[in-house]
Amino acid sequence: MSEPATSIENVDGMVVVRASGDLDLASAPALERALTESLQDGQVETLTLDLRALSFMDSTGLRVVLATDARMRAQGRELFVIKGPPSVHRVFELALLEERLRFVEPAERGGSDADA
Amino acid sequence: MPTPESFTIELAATPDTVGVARAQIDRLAGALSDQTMEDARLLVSELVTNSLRHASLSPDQTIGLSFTLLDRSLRVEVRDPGPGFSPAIRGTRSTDDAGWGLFLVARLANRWGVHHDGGNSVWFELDEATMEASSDEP
Repeated sequence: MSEPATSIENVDGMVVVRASGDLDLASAPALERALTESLQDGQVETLTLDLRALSFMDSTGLRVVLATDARMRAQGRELFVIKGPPSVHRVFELALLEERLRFVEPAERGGSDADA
Repeated sequence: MPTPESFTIELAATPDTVGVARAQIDRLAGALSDQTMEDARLLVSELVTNSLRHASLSPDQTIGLSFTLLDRSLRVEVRDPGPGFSPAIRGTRSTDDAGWGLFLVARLANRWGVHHDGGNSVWFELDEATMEASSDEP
């Protein structure tokens, strides 16, 4: 079990929310708050959610990503998701959501700094 | 320490319990493949989350988990004292809240089921892939 954390960064005018540790029922509220906070600024048209530092995610995390995607689409905004490690990305694959969400490479959307 | 063949644990009905329940799978290291352990962690997380979301438990109530190593499979049962829920598996098109947990259980588990006997119980079994089929080890 890894200690969960979320951070919000502005990288070259792009808002990036990073989630780390285990994303489940206990940690999802903090990520939801970070996402809601990031979207309060009406100028923000796109948001990138970086899942690379997650160690675990279950359907509670899936729901947060889906709800954010649905809300942003309804507002004419766009959510980009940087894939997590295989065990995390597998949950999206099992849920048959790979096509529905917009997965991007880190370099496209403000994620390059976090690569060691 | 030898790997236990079966054990049970009672955990408080609080959100932190989801992670504690997942961590129990580590006690079976050595007896299960990495893939089975990964799948089991996810499904345990889903079932405990289901209990916490749907059973209207108070923090002083507990969720019971039992883990049993069978011949070539793992059986896990999660029990709560709540009224239970109908095992509606979601479609994949809507964004409403319910059903993803059991959808994942249905996708990954070889066998699973629900029963009500005053409380609510959901169980699943994961079979080990055959030795021939496992290619994840170098």
